[in-house]
Formats: sequence, C-alpha cells, structure tokens
Amino acid sequence: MDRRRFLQSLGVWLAGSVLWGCAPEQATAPKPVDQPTRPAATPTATLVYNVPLPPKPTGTKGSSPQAQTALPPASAGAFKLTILHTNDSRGYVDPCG
Amino acid sequence: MPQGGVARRATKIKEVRQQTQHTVLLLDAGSTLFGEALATQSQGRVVIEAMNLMGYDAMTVGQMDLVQGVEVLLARAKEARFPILSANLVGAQDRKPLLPPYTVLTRDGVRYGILGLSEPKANNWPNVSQVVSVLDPVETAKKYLPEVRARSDVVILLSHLGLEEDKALAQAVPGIDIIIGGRSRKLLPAPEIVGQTVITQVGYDGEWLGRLDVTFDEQKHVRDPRTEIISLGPEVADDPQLKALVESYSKRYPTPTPAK
Repeated sequence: MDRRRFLQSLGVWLAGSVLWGCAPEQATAPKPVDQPTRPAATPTATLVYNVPLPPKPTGTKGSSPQAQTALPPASAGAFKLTILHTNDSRGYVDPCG
Repeated sequence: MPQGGVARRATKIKEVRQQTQHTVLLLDAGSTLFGEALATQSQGRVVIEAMNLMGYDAMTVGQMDLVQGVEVLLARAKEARFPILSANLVGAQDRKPLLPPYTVLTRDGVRYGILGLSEPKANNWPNVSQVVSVLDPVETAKKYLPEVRARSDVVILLSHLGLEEDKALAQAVPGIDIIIGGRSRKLLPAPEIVGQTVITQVGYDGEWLGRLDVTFDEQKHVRDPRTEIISLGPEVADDPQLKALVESYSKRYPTPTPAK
C-alpha cells in the first residue's frame, strides 16, 4: 500500500471512529444484517434510575399448575439480587473511542 | 474519549461484589466474542479468557458470536467456565439444540433459571445458515418457560432479540421476571416494565457495565427495580490481571502495520 492510500484509509478509519465511537469491524468479517443506531445519550458518568412496578396480584406465580407444585420455598422472606450485565461488546477488550 | 475495556470492567465488577452483601450475577446478552481485531484474530479466545477471569455466570448467543462459524463457537463454549446458552439455535438437520437452552444457578439458597434466546437472523452468515436453524423465539420461550419455572425461583431471560422484540415477548409470554437484552444496543435510561417483567440492556462495545438491582418479596415477585449505567471511562483503574491478559494477546497478535 503506498503512502497516499494509507493516509486515505486512515482518514476513513478516523471518520468512522468519530461517528461510531469505536473502530469498525475487521474488513474480513461480514457485516451483520441489522445495523444499530448509536444512542442519542452517551453518558460518561454513572447514572441511576428507579421505576416503580405496578401492584401485583397475590398468589404464587407460574405458567402451569405443575410449575406451581414443583416450586418449594427456597428461602424465607424477601431477598435482593444485583445483576451486572453487558451486551454487544463485539470483542472489545481494550477501550475504544 | 476512550471508553470500556475488560480491565476497567473487571475493576468495577470487583467493586460491586465487594460492596454487596447479597447475590450478584454477571451476565452477557450476546454478540460478544468477535468484531474487534484482537478478538477476531484470536478466534474469541481473549474474550472467553477475560470472561472466565471476571467470573461471568452465563451468556447467550447473538449474530456476531457465529461470525467465525459453528465449530469456533462450540470450541469457545467448551473453554468457557460459564454456560453459553441458546434455546432456539438448533441443528438444521437434527433440530437438536446447539447449546444448552437454559441453566439453573443456585445462589444463597435461591434458584435462578437463566434461559437464552438468539435473534432470528443469528445464523445469517456463510456456512452457518446451512447447518444451524433459528427457531421462533416466542414459541421457544413458551416451550421452555414452564420447565425453567418449575426448577427455579426466579426466571431470567438472556435475550439477543432486540428491545422491541423483548417487550413483545414479555407481553406474549408472562412469567419471566427479568430480561437482560441486546442487539438494539440501547443505552436505556431506565428499566422498561412490561406486565411484571423488568427489561434492560446497556449499550454496546463494552463501553459501559449495566447494573440492575431488584428486591423479591415473599412471593418472589420483583419489586423496586433500579438500573445503573456504570461508565467505564479513563477514571476507572485497570485491573492488573485483565490488563496483563490483554497485553499478552496483543503481543501474540500485533496490529498489522501498513506496507511502505
């Protein structure tokens, strides 16, 4: 690749990085069919949100009577759960941007 | 500004685990293994090793996880110290599940049933569509949910269907407590609530870590869902172990330099 072509490629890569946030996928990899849109908001600080759930009817939940009868009590009382989660990280092990 | 990276993610995960007295699950909703150069060159090994070190509990399969073919995905699934799940990816010929449809994890006496679903176009790659079929996600969820519910106290769906599809599925298939989603790559400002199902997802490219806190009442119904978008900016210190892992792979697979 000559110097001019390399600089052109670099320009395209930088433009893609600015628009998309990360370097584009490798040219050898086929593009996914569904191309996402970048979210309007890209927070750089931790945000916390809380949404109340509507009241729920009383009674044991379950999609079938069999499911209900097979559901022994796991622990008494209420309990808390924290889920940490990721999605669509597409192999980014290094910071991108 | 550069965001993300597994070394920063690991730091935040450790922080949350150290600060939390109750159960913390670490989950991934797919399209995770391939895309970035190092991951692609290492056939996803660097990602699986990083996820093993971070202590992931489960993930599901999205379209990007099949980009290098079925054999590579199955090889990485064997190396993972956590289950890679998909209830609706089946062999095109035998119609048997390619991967475990779900898993049940018991933590602090509570059984968490985790079901995986992939998007209908997950197999849309050369050499994959001939050997893998994708079953209808709603019908598949309806099929497995009674079984998962019977074996679990809490049902979590790892979905790579997309946000609108997740909302439609929650409407069509009541009984899922939580959906951790992907594919739409939305940085959700708040949890979506459909019926009694809490839905969330957190952007893309590993730039953020999502956090969902919920309380289950005595009837094991979800109460008080709170989401948090944890930023992984330069202010977050690198975890030394994960940093060393990425550096070792970077030396093994150096970035190609242009010819002069």
